[in-house]
Amino acid sequence: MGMQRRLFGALLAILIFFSLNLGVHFWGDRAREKSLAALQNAIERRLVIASFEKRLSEANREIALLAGVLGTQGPGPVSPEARAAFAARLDQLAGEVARVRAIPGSATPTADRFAAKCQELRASWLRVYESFGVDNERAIAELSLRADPLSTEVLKRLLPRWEKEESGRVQQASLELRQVSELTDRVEILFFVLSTLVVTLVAAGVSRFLVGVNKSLEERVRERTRELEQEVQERRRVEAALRESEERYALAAQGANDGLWDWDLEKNELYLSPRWKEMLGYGESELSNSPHEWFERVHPDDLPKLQAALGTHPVGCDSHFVNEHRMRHRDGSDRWMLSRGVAICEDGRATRIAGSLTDVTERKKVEGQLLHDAFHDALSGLANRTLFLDRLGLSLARAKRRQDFHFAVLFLDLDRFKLINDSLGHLSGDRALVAIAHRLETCVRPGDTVARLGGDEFAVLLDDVRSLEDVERLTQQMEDRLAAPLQVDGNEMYVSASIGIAFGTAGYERPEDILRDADAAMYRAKALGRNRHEVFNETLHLEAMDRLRLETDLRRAVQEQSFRLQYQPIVCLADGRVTAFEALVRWWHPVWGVVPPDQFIQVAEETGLILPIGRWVLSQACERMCQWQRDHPSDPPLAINVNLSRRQLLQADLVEQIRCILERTGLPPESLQLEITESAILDNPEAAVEFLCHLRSLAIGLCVDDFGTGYSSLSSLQQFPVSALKIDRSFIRGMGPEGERDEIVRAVVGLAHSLGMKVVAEGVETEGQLARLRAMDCDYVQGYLLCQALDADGIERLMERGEWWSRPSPAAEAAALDG
Amino acid sequence: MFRIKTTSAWIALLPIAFVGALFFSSSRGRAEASIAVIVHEQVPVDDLSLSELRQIFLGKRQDWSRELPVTLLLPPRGTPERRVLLDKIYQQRSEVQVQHYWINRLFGDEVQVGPKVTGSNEMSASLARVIPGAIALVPADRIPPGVKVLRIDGKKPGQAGYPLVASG
Repeated sequence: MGMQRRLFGALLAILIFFSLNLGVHFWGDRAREKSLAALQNAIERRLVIASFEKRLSEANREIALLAGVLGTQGPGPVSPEARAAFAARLDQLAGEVARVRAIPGSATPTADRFAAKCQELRASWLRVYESFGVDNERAIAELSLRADPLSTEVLKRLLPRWEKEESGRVQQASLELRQVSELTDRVEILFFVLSTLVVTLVAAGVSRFLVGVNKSLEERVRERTRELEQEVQERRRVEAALRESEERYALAAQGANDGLWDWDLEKNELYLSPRWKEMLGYGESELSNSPHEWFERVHPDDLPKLQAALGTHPVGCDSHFVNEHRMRHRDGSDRWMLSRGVAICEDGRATRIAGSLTDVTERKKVEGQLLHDAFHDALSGLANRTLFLDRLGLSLARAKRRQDFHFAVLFLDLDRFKLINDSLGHLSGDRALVAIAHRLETCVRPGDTVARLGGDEFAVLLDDVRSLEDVERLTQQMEDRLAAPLQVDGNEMYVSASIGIAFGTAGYERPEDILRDADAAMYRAKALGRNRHEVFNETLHLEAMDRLRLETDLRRAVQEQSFRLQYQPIVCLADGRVTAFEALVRWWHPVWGVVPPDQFIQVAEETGLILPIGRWVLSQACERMCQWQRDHPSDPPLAINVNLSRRQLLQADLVEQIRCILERTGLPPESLQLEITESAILDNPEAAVEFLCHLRSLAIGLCVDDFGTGYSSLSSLQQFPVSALKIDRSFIRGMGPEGERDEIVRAVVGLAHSLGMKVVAEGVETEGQLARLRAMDCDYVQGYLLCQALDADGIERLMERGEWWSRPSPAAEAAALDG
Repeated sequence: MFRIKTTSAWIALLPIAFVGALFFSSSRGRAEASIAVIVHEQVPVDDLSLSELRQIFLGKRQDWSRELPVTLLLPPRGTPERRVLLDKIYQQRSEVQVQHYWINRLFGDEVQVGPKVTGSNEMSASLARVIPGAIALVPADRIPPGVKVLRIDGKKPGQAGYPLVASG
C-alpha cells in the first residue's frame, strides 16, 4: 500500500509539472504571436505607405505634364474616360488610405492629416481636370494655388513624416517581439529545468525503491547469468577449438593439394573427397562410395602391396599407413600417388581408416631422372662407369653361381680422336661421340650393356657368351661397323678404335679388375698399331700385375721419399769447363735397388705421381745447386738443368711453384734451366707459349730436350722463348766415320745458332763423337765420355779434386775423328 | 463715264491703303518689341540677371523665398514671347528639346511642380496677377496693372541693351 502511494505521488508530481510546462509554453506562444502580429501590421502599413508615394507622385506628374509640359493647346476638355480613370485611381488611393487608418493603432494625427489633405488634393486635381480645355486659366489657377501646394505638403512633408513614424513603430514592434521572446524563453527554460529536476528526483526515488525491491531477484539473476556465461564461454571455446581444428585441417589439406579419403570398415563405405576425385580427372558425383572405385584404378603391379598394407595396417592400430602406388587417370595415364592414413580402433579392432592421397608423379619423375642421370652418360645417354660396373658385378656374380655362364668386357678407345676435336671443334667431336655410341648400341645384343667411360673411351659388356670366338666375332662386327664413314656437321670422317677384350671368368673378384684387364689389352692393341683388338691373356696379366705392383711401390716411394738425385755435368766445348749439371732422378727400390727412370717415369706420368716427384726433384736440385754455388763460386756461376714432364706442364700453378722454390732455396733464376721435351710443348702450343714466356720473364732458361725424336722442326720451335736445344742421344750415337747422322746434327747446330739458340749434345760416349761435335761448333756436350751421372757426394768429390775432363790435344782429336 | 470710274477706283483703294499703312507700321513696331518679365506683386525681387532668369525658367531655382514657390507661366507656342523664351532664355533650344527637358526633370523627381503653359498673353498677365510667386513673359507694350515688371541685367524693357527683344 505504501509503495502504491509513493508511486501515485510521484506520478502526480510529474503530471503537475508537465501541466505547468504546457501552460507556460502556451502563454509564451500567445505573447510571441501578439508581438509578431503587431510587427506584421507595422510592416504592412509601412509597405502600403511606401506605395502611396508612388501613386501620388504618378498622379502629380500626370497633372504637371498635362498642365505645363505637354500643354493643352487644343480646345475642348480632357476626355471623360481619362478623367474617370484618373478619378478612379485617386479613389482607390483614398480607399487604401482609409484601410490603413482602419488598422488598429494606425489612426495617428499624421495619418489623419494625411488623409484629410489627400481628400483636398483629390478634389483640387479633379477640378483641374474638369477645367482643362474648358477654362485653362481656371485650371492653372487651381493647380498653382491649391493642387501644387497640397501635393507638395502631402508628398514632401506629411508622407515622409508618416513613413518615419511607421518605421519607428516597426522598430518598436520588433523590439517588443524580441523582448517577449526572451522573456518567454527564460520562463519556459526555468520551468523545464524545474520539471526535469523534479522528475529526476522522483525517478531516482522510484529507482532506489525498485532497486531495493529487486535486489534479491537481481542477485539470483546475476548468479544464473554467471553460470550461463560460463557455459556459453566453454561452449564457444570448444566451438572455436573445433572450428580452428577443422580450418587448420582444411587449410592443410588445401595447402597440400591432397585428396582425402575415409573408409568405414564396418559399413564398407569409402568417402572420397572432391579433390581426391579431381586428382584422377573425375567430377564430384562421378564416383560412388565403394572401395572398388579406388582399388580398380590402382596399377596391377602395385595393387598387392597396397592391399597388403591396408590389410595389415589395422592390426597395429597405432601405426601410420603409407604406400606409393600408381593409379590410372581418367585420361588413361598413370599417376604416382602417395597414400597415407591412420586407423581408428575400437576394442583393438580397426573400424575406420582415413587419410590423404598426394599426387607425387612429378616427384617420381624427378627421382627417375636423377636416378637415370646418376647411372647414365649425359652426352650419349649410354650407361656410365657406375652402372657398367654394377652390371658387370651382376654378371660376375652370375658367373660365380653358374659354371657355364661366361661374359666378356670390351674396352674401346677411339684412335686419334683428339684430332677430330682439334680440327672440327669440341661440338663436332661430341656429335661424333654420340653417333659412335649409337653405332655401338646397334652392334650388341639385347641384354648387353654399352657404356661411355669418359672422353673417347667406351666399354661393352657382352653377357652370356659361349666362347672367346663368339666375342671376337662380335668385336669384329663392331670394328666393321665403326669403320664406315661418319657424317658430322657436313664433314665425312673415319673413326677406328683400339679394343681390349677381357673374358670374364669366375676367377675375378671385383668388376674393376676385369675392366682394368680389358684396359690393359686395349693399350696393347694401341701399342701394336691401333685399329685392332687384343685379348687379355696371361702375359698381359703378368704385365698388368707388374705394373700394379710398380704403381703400389711408386706411391709408397713418394710417401717415403725414396728417390735420390744424380747429377751429370754439362761441359762447354769451347773451354772444357763444366758449366751446369742435369739433375736426374733415381728410385732406390728396397728390393730391386736402383730403378732407372725409363721404368717408372711413364707410370708416374700416367698415375699423376710425377707431380709430387717433380716438385721434390726441382726443390732438391735447386737447393743443391745453391749450396755448390756457395762452395764453388765461378764466373759465370754453375747452373742446374731440371726436366719437366708433360703432366707437370698442365699444372696451372707451376710458375708459382717454381718461383716459390727459387725464393726458398735462394738460387738465382738464371741458374736454373728447365728441360722440356718438344712433344710436351707441341701438345698444347698455346698454353706452352704463355707458360714459357712467364718462365722467361723470371730469367729462367729453357731447353728443348730430346730434340729430333718428335715431329717438330726448328722453325716450329721458333715461336717459343727457348734458349737451348738438346739433341737426342740417338742422333749422337749415329754419328761416326760413315757420317750417317753427321749432316743432320750439323744442320741442327747451324740452324739453332742461326735462331740464337745454344746446342747441347747428350749421350756423347766416344772421342770421335766429341771431335765431330766440336768440328760442328756444338756448344755443350754431356755423356759418359765426359762424366757419368753421380750423386751429389760424387760430384762434390770431383769438384774438390778438380778431376774434370780436360780438352784433348789437336792430334788426339784428329785421330778420334778418323776413328 | 471714264471719270466716274476713276474716282470710284480711288475711293475703293482708300481702305486698302489704310490697312496697308497699319500693317506696315505694326510690323515695324513688333520687329523691335521688348518682352517684359512680369511677376506677382508679392515676389520679393525687382531685378534679375539674364543668367538668374535662366535658372528660374529651367526650374533650378524653385523658390522666391522660404514660403513663396516659383510658379512658371510659359507663353503659348507660336508667339514672339515663346520665341524669346526658346532663343534667349533657353538659348536656342527647340520645342521638343524643352519638352524632353521638363519630362526628365519631373520623372527624375528633380522638380515637384512643373511649368504651366498659358493660352495667351492676357492669360499670362491675368494669372501672374493672381498667383503668388508667378512669373510670366508678356509684350512690353501690354503690361497689365497689378504686376511687377522685373529689370533684366539692370535694364527695363525698351531700354537700350535690354536682352529680351523679339527679333524678326
